[in-house]
Amino acid sequence: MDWFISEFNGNRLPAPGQDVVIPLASYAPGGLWPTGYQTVPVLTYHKISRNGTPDAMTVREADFEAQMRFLREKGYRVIPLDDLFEFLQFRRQIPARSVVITFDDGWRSVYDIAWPILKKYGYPATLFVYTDLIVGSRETLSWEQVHELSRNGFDIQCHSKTHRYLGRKERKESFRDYFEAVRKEIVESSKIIRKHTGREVKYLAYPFGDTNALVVAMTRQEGYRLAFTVERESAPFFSNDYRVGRAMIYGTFNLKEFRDNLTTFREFGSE
Amino acid sequence: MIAGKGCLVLAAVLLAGCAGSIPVRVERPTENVLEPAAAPTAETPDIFRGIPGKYRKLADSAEKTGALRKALLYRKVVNGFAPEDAEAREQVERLERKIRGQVDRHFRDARALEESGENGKALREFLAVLVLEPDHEAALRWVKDGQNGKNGKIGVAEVKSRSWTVREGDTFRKIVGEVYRDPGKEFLIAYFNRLPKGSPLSIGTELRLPDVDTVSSTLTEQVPGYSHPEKERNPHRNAVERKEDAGGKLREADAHYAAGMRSFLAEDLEEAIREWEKTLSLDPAHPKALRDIGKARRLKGKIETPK
Repeated sequence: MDWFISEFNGNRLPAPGQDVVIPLASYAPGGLWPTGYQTVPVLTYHKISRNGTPDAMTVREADFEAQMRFLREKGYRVIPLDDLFEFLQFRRQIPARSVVITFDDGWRSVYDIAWPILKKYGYPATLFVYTDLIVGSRETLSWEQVHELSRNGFDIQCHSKTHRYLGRKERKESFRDYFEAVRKEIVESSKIIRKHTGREVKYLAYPFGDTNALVVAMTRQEGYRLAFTVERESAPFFSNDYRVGRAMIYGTFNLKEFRDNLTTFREFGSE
Repeated sequence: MIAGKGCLVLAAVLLAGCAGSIPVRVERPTENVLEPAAAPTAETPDIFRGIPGKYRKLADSAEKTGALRKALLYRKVVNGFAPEDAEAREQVERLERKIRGQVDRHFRDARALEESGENGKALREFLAVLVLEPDHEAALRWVKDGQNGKNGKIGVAEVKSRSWTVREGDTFRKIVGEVYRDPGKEFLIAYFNRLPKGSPLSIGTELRLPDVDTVSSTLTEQVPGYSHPEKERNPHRNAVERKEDAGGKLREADAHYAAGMRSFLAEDLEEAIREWEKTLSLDPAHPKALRDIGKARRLKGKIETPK
């Protein structure tokens, strides 16, 4: 909670003889100020590669490390998804430059490459798995690895069962069939994750970020507390809990493009 | 008081709940700003002597910049150090009144803007209420519970849920026929209201009937050069899927157009406009929707503003 005191006192380092006010309660819930409001970037990665040519879904190890270092050097604070949830409910104040890190799908490189880097910086992260992918191949995670990540503080959450477009009813599907298919995607996968990690599944990342009104209603009904799209926008506290935006970090991004996804404050009138 | 490492440390509490006239406001008891300070002795000189003056200045400066809650905190620090100082107490009370006045004004403006359909501006006013009074339940409910129809963006409308009170003669089929215009969706009532299978409807029961539109409503960005592994297994699927998607969208646009026409004929202009807006979001060049939505809007305007 050092940031809590530091931010209230203008982020100055305390000097001998200086007054320091210690707030005993939240002084800006929801990151709301007279001049504007806080927004939280939720970053989304997929695969990390040791080397080779980066593509949209694959970030090189060196670039990933540089991005994590950038966050540290520029004073960003990486927070867990649970803290974001509390912030979105207007219950909790979080550091002014908060960022959330997420990974989608369940690729093995999260375990082999990303995890050691995250550990080095002490950053929490969430892995959204689609359970059909967790088969323990050369490229994909096994349930043992998922469990190990979970035991060591990696938050494991849901990304559906088969990674179908949840927001699109197939032409041949009846409404009832579509409803049952969506239900299976968000309920079965959650049960499987809970079985393997022993932990509660509370958050859903829609595959391809795709959703619709029915899926939102079902996601809420099935007990998820937040659900994420991939609409590239940082989240203010008044975001729709079932359409929280995330920014996909492409492997082709340079550091400036990465930085462009780190908006943490919006002034009133700039929306 | 807590002292440490040569830094003078003040324990302070931010006060959130101010008394006010709006009944939705949560009242909180006033908390002490400061823990009682020990009286100075010869060994412990009054190191806090300069503090009230310093925090009075900070309060003046915060108030000038409109940071009223911060100013209130500083005023309370001053008052905490000089509880007998009538002027310090009066400053706290004056600022509390000022905050209440501003909260009430922002809230009234927000309500008026909401009623005139200016949700973006209303949101801004509700946020201004919460800046000054974070416990203002009505403002928080509006910005957080979807009453502002947000979608992570300001002022984007999204109808979330409709409630239905069961009346005599209501059946599952009748209700969904009226709400969803599709009697085949009756299972949704039991699902969304956690009703046991086969349970009868009781008169007076409040049912929640959320929007169950299946049109994809997310702006997904085109990922450069990306093809999901599921699709890679079938190299032809992308092209086929794209074609199907385009066809599917046009069909959905036509379906919304037809639903809009049904509403128009039933003299439900608002619903007709909503359906035709959906049509145009799927097919911006839909000629009939373009023609009829204009008519419906003009007609609605005439009805709402009789001369």
